[in-house]
Amino acid sequence: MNKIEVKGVTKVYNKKTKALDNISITIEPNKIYGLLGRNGAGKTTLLNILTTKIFPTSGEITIGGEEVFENDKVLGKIFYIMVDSAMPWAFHRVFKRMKDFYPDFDIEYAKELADRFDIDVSKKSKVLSTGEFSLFKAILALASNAEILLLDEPVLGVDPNHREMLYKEMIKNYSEKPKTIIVSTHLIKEVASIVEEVIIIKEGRIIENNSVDSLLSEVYTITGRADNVDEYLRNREHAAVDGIGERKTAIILENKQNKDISLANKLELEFGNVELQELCMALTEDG
Amino acid sequence: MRSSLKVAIDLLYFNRAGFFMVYIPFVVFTVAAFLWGYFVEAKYGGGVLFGANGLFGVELSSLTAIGIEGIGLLFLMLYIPITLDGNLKFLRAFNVTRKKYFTGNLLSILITAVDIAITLSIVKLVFRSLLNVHSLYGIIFGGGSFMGELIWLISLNLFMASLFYLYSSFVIWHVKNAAITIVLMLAPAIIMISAVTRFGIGDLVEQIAIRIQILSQSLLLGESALMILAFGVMTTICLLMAYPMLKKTSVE
Repeated sequence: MNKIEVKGVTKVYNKKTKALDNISITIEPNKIYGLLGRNGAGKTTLLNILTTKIFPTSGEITIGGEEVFENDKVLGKIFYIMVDSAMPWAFHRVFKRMKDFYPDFDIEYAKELADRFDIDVSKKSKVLSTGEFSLFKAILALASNAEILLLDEPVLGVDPNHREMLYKEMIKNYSEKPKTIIVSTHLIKEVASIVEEVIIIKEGRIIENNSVDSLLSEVYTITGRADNVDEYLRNREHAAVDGIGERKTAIILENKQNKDISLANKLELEFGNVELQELCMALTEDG
Repeated sequence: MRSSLKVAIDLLYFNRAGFFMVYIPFVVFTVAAFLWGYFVEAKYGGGVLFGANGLFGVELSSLTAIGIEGIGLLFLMLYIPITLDGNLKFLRAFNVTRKKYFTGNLLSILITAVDIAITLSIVKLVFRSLLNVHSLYGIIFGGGSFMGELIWLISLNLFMASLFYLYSSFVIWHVKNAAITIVLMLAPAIIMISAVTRFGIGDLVEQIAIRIQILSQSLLLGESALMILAFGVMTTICLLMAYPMLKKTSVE
């Protein structure tokens, strides 16, 4: 199977900027991962290293136990949507030529998707809007039938209607032909419902690598009077505290089963669930 | 499994627009240069321009012949870095290995080099037979046979193409920003133009040709065979040096 193993990968730019700092993760096959983090956290660097677009300063990457660098067999299993990658031909030509690069490319499916997403495939990439171009690349990714899809900001510039359609299509495609999908995006709310696993990167280090369910079961919120919230937070690990006026909300990094209900009742605090986006923001904020 | 040949053909196919954009001016300039040579021969009888030593101290007919030779090389010099840079799209968009990128470009560039050599030889043949300007070519080629000239030009162009390939690979590998790329890419063109117009790169080519001829005679080998061998070795060395550089190229 195509398990992706990243072992101790560090990437340093210009001998001083550390984009990735000794990262080690295992990406299980046939799951949808969300690669989350703030700008400059190292998400794109990691994807670029996975596909050998750039080289790690140290560490190694294997896919299915094989080295990736200059390994056509492995690289041919990956379709990578880079944010700023251009296409060499007009789109209808790309469709025709895709089989040379991805032998399992389904041209009929690609045409059908292009039709559904209102993409004029006779156009050249230069005359397409950013959103149309993003959709086109997403169509190529889905129709490539590659075993691993790396999608860096796949819906950049895409309108909400088409974004929704694309997410649905992605799920449909995934359920029919399971594959490993890694989505790197800032639109966390939108992908929260499609990702199963989450990797959160902060300043080049992985701070979370867990399933969405298990990650969200390890956190909860409390809301109430500021001094009561502070009282509850005493000796508890928390990620973020937000307050308006005398009221405060805090994210507690503790399993929901360990909630101190009696204390919360005494302090007149309300419990709540944490959304993936909230948690990601809380975990990656400065300080 | 992705076939190397298919990827190479795709690169070649992708390059066709760029090729014709430079190839057509190349043919036009080549023909114009021959017409100019004919005019010079007819008017000045192979003399010099502006004084006893001529323009830049080079005989007009020699200058024209060098210029004709230079056009093909100039074409390769422009075409190869542009091709290599443009083809990076394949690495970025389709996860092509650097080896496939290298071989694809190689095929594309070598075919182009051979194509230019054939075009130039045919144009020369046509002009030689139609316009009777033998002396123009005699300076460098000694009025050799069509096949001899063709082999010489193919060998020369393949070598120069591999040299430019090596150079372009170096630029792509080393480049840090667009400004440096442009300067580095233009550098050989500037050097070449100045060499052609001022010092005459043809002198250097002639020197190499004479040395090869002497060597071939001493080794009792056919001139063409040794020339092909010598250029083949130099071409291979350049190409072998180009791949390791491309292998280390980041394509963010």
